[in-house]
Amino acid sequence: MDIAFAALLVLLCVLTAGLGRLCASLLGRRS
Amino acid sequence: MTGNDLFQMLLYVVVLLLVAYPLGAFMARVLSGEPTWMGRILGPIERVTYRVAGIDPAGEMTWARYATAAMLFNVVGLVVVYVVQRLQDVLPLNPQHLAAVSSDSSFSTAVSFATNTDWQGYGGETTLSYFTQLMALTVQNFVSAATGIAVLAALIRGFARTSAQTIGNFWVDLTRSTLYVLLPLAFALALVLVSQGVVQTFSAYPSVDLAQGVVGNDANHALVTQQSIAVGPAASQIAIKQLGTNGGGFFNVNSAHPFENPTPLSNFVEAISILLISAALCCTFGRLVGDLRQGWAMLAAMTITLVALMAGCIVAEQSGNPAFDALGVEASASDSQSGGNMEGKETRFGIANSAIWATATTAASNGSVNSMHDSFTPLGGLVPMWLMQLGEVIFGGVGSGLYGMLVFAIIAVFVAGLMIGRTPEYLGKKIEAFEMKMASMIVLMPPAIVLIGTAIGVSVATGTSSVANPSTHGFSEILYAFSSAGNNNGSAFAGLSANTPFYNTALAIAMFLARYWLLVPTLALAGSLAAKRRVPPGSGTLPTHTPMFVTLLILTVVLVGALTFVPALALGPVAEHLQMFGQ
Repeated sequence: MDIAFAALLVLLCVLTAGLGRLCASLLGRRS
Repeated sequence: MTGNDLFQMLLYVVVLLLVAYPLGAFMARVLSGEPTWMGRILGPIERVTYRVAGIDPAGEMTWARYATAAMLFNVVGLVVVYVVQRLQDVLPLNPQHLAAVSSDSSFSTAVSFATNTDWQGYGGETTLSYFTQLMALTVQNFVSAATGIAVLAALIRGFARTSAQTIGNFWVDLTRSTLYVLLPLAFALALVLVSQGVVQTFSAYPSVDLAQGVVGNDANHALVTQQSIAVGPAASQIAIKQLGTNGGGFFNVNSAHPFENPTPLSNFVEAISILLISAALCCTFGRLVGDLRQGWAMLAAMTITLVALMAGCIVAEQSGNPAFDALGVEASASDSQSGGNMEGKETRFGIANSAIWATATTAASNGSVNSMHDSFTPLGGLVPMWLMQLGEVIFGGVGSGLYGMLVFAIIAVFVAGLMIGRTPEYLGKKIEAFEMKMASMIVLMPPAIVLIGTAIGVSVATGTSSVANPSTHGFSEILYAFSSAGNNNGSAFAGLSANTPFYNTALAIAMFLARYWLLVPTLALAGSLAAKRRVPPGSGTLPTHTPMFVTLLILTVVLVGALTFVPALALGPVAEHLQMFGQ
């Protein structure tokens, strides 16, 4: 189960990083 | 509402505002990097911290670097909390020889404390060692609160700076918030709490002889003649749990426990501490943007909404339960009793202090409780639930509450601009498409998490099997749990057995998304605003420090909350209220 929760945490972090890239790309598109 | 209720509520609000003002001025100096009167003592510690960690305090960060630093720091902290719980049986300071915590509970707790939520699926005194409470949870109480203050500082710099590419240094904001604000306040509060009887010890739980033996509820029905009394290093954790709007109790019943909150004075001081820093940050905001009136406007909007809902909660609880009237039970207030609905409340706190606490703890993203919200009247319980659903912006979490409210202010000026044809700008910064995309994301994310989570919770057997009460109240229990996790509050309605793999995992995901999927767009917003030029106010500028704007801001918050959650609330507390009073 430890590995499953580690994988879940990695997934959440990757999704958050994706959100960050989306925000950056929206901001970059404006400028 | 009795005269005592009114007096207690007004005393609470007045003292809060009086104490918040000087603290706000002090925090403005801390966050702008100016020297403070504490610098002589704490300055060397600050400089050594930077040197050891290899941080250049003068180094500025773009919003993306700031967000990356904040995320990395939080994820590392989360992993540490998880590992400590999983290994606590072999770590020191475990006099009760408590076993390692299960993986799902460890994950939920780790996410919970890293995100400043402090939702607790476990009972502290029966689950966690002193080492875990101190080195994992208390540490997170400090740094998760400091993270919130840091992100707010970055957003304020976004408003205050002109044509800038950077929004500050996360490590400096984190260090200065912790060192100059949270640690000294928590130290002082812990001493006050110890003076009132809050325990602070590393001793094992003492056993005492019972005055009268009781028959045990085990299979043999053996006579029980001794009781183990849970103690521990509680005061040091309680202080920061209130100040940092964390809320995670050392003991299972949180601030209803006599060793966490023993006296009316400890209750008053702790209740003030819950909203203190969030209120003070409004003054800090006004100072840092160079217009104190902007801070007062934020504080006014928060205070008016809080007082209105606090009064509603007190009235609902003081009105009591109509079932008691039918039985002829005297439930009116008198010299000898609080009257009203005292189920789930401590007699030493009564109606007023239970309702004031319930409102304050859910207005802030604190979540500590001194009474059981599950036992409130339907409308009394609706108030704390709705306060969370408003997005934790009525004072809210330290830092996170005000940055959430500033996002609502951006939406308010945008809506006002659409309505009357004025240029949408806030504090001299034009509000354009990117700002509105980020603001919309920030405002819509928590309701989506709460409503989708609740829908899943009531749809699957593993979700409904944890509900203690069927029907409308059971729905409220699930809705409350996801409202709490999905807005990083952490208070529990009780009645829901949440220490299950389903709730531990589902609520952990909700807490993670509610914190970091708001933090990232908030920092992007800060970066965007910092890069803009400041537009001087003109005849087309909507003033944002007037009573008119305060009203508009309150209406924006309330309308978003009402439109999003009224259908769900109608299925829970509103339906329960009609059932109760319709009989």
